[in-house]
Amino acid sequence: MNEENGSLMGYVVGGSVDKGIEIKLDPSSPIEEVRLGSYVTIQGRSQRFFGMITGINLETTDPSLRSTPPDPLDELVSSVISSTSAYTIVTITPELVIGGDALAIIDGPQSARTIPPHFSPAFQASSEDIRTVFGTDDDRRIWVGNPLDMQDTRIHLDLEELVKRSNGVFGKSGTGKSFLTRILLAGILQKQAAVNLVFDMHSEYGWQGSNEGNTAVKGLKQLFPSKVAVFSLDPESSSRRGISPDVEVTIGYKDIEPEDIEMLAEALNITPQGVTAVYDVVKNFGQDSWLKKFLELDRDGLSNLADTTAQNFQVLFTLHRRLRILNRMGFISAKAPDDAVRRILEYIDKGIHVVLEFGSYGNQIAAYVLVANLLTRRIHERYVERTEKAMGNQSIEPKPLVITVEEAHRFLTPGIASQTIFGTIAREMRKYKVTLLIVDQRPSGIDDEVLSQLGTRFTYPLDNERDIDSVLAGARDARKLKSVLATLGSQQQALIFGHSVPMPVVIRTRDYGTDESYSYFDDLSSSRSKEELEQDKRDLFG
Amino acid sequence: MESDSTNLNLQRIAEIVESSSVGFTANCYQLYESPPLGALVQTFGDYPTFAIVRGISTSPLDPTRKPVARARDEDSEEAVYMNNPQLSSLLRTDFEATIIGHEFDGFMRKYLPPHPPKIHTFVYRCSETTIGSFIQNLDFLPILFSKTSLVTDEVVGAFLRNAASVHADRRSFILSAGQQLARLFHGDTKRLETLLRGLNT
Repeated sequence: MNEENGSLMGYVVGGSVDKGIEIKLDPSSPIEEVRLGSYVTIQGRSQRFFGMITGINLETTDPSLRSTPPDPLDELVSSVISSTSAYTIVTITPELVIGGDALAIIDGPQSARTIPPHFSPAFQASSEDIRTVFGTDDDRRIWVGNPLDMQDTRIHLDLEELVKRSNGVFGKSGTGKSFLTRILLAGILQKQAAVNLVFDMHSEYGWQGSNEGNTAVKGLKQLFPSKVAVFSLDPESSSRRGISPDVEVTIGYKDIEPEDIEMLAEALNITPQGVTAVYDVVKNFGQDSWLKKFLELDRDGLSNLADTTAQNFQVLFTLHRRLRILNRMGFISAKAPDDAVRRILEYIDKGIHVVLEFGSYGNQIAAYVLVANLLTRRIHERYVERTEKAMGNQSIEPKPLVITVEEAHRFLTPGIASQTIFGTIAREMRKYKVTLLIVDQRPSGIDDEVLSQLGTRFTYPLDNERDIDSVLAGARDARKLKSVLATLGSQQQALIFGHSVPMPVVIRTRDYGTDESYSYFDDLSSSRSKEELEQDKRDLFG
Repeated sequence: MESDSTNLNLQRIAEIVESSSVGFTANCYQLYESPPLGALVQTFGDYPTFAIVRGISTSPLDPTRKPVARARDEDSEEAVYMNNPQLSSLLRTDFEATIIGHEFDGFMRKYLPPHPPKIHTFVYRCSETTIGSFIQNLDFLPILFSKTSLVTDEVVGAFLRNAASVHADRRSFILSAGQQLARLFHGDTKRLETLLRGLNT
């Protein structure tokens, strides 16, 4: 059984199920090559344990060695002591059990509920072990990166499992969040695990984005031209960048509901009284024209309105001033030529992925919150209707939808998360076939309940202690994961844990932006599109 | 018994005058000609025994008659013995040895023999070949540090130095001996360090 093992690391000398297994490092195994977060297999009597290194400690048998260490120049003394009286204990958290009984062979690795006996040998995990645990590139898995110390081994992510729940990509800016998000989106698209709707704040997912060195990287539209539609709120910005969007999105005044204003309260600095006043204003003018009429009011008009609605004039006046910013958002117009929600749904039903670019409005958080919230609420409504109508009849069920939102803490702050559509989607999981992909750099600003519902979390390094605690909240062995998270390199290194990986995993995310990296997606997409061409031909010519 | 030793062409050096399960005292045939401290010696007989020299002493044959100073009118120490030839018959050199193993069924056993050697058993110095095969493993080290062995760390150091000098790879022998010692002295690193320093020189 040992021939497929990696190199020997040491032997089990103690430990427990909850605190992890302790391995005394074999003198032949150099301590500096033992890294937190790397994988280890332990060969028990009848089964193999698979775990991650979560602690490395230097120990001595003689406490006096701490106060009077041996002469470092005496080579014999140091080499004898450093392998015997002074030794290294590596703590391994057992995650999975490979092999063993028949069930394990059929179902693959099972979670570890026991530990190996004393003096079982521990090995560095081999590529074969990693493949057994994380699977290979198949219909439902994509390659997301490599283990830190095994550049030739690939870690695959189960996308079918991923899209069943809402997920989060976290990390401070510049760590690689949007690169991983691109890989995930492209993967979902390629494996047809779901349809994407991306609220693309900085216009970086649709046509092209840029990396840290400011060189352009391809967006989804360039990789999968026939599968992606770019919607734009700001056609001018798109044309400046030399892109012609598939659809220009406009939103009518009538589409803006009091709930949308409520969501904007924080961004526009509207008081709770102001929010209450909105409902009265709507009651007064009617949903279809309230915003247009309200914004047209002058001082006297406001004063009259205050009398009719029995609202405080000052409250209405302030609200009026705050809402005037909506007038400056070019995509809001009195007459929207097209129903944006309908157009998006049309594309989604055809299996075409939608990226909504915000252009220059990306810098206005109010615009982002308003549009993302407004569209999502309506799309979700339709999805609920259609899923309920389908009643489990899979042929008419809508396609699973993954909505990507950035700056998610703006939508999911503890106070408002329970009322907003994003909070609802995060909580109800896949019931109505809509899930979220949250991209955020401040997870502590997100409601705990929402965070705890996230199926899989992808975490790049975070600086703020509160952010780290929030991301890890509810995770098994959060304390150990914290020490792993703290040691991540500042770029391209991410910790993944949750539903779609069998165990927490630290990866160096794969490259995105080189021709080679695109070819991974090209191959499959072109083969698919060929099939589709054939299908189209058959449909056309019979 | 005699033939064993003559075949091996070993040097007979002493005769056992006091014997117990853990060690023996042997009287040297020549004054001052005992094996050095830490040397490996052996006996033959029913239970051919291996022992390490742990102490050497020279004293008058008759303990009631203490030696007196004789060199006042002599030029050198050697001259004292030259001019008093009776001295070598009035003095005796003994050494004490701790038993660390024996031979049984053709194998070296690194534990105590069932019976100690008899009085007047001949004692021989081990050949380098015997030392070489004896130190192939160092399982006997714990016997040396047991309370009954009366062996000091100095003696162990001397033995290991001797052994290292006949070992093909001196460096790796010292290292593996050091690691064995470290296992025995895991709680007392200072003692271990002193021992190891003794080996290094």
